[in-house]
Amino acid sequence: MSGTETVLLDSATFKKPRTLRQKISVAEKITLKLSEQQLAKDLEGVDFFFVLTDFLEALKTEGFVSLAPDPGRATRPIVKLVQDNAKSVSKADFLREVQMYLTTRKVSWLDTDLVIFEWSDLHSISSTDVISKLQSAPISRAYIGMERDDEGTDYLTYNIRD
Amino acid sequence: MNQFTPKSQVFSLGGILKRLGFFEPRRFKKDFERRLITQKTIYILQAFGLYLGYSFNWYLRGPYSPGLTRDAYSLAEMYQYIPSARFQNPNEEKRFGEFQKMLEEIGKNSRFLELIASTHFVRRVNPELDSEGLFKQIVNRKPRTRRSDFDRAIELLGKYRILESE
Repeated sequence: MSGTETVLLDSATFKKPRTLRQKISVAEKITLKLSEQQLAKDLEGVDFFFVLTDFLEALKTEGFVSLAPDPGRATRPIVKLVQDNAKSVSKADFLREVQMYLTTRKVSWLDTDLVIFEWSDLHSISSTDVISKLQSAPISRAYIGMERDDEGTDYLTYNIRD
Repeated sequence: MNQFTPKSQVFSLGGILKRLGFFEPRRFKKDFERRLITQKTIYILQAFGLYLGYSFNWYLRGPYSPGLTRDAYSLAEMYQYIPSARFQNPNEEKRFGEFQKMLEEIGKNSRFLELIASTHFVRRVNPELDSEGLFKQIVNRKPRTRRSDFDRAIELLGKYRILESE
């Protein structure tokens, strides 16, 4: 996510996989040994590195290239999980805690099952707006990354009751 | 706009891998075999009907998800801080128990894990194939596949009702 854009997620937008054409295109170019620069146009940098690494490893043992799509992809509902250390709180208590954390300016990101705020969002919109967006979204789970003084990160997880 | 994964999804992946207990961040980064095991394990988990949101396509060593690879690398950086996770739905939790039993039956045999995931994938793409046709497809892709291993893979897919879960 970039800039100040806040993404509202629902089941339709939660995961937006690349099209099969894009994936096949990338693999074909690997097979044809086209330049890495060309490949990078189809895969974002970090993905390109990861996939190419595994692809080259696989080539050591497999010489057969065949691509087929998973026919059921992206059509199934994503399971709901609860983190074992999740703090169970009411929505009002959750919002109060978020408000308190935001005043510290140490929140690195705030990720819920419906709304996401990255660092750039949290440092460009007011805490009132953040709370307002959280208030209006029917969130049930939340994850907060907090900067520690020693440069590490604390991870907080919440299960939000109705 | 860069593609990104919500951290909640990385937490979900991490929570499940914590329960499975085989994910080791350092070895994951260095060892292709470890990454392969992660790929095939999550593929089979989703085949059980416990869908975490990863799309797989066929690559050289069977079903492969670039999105999962990306998330697992992200996870490796924060794994020690992520607690295990459970399914909200009790039926899904029960199904997860069956999945764990199947993994116990497979043991630490990454080749067999790969064969099960691959057999399942090829079957889904070609639902009309009978057992013989499926075996030929698998041997085309993986010439070293032994018939006895394939039969065992089919047996496990049937025993755990994996093809029925979708």
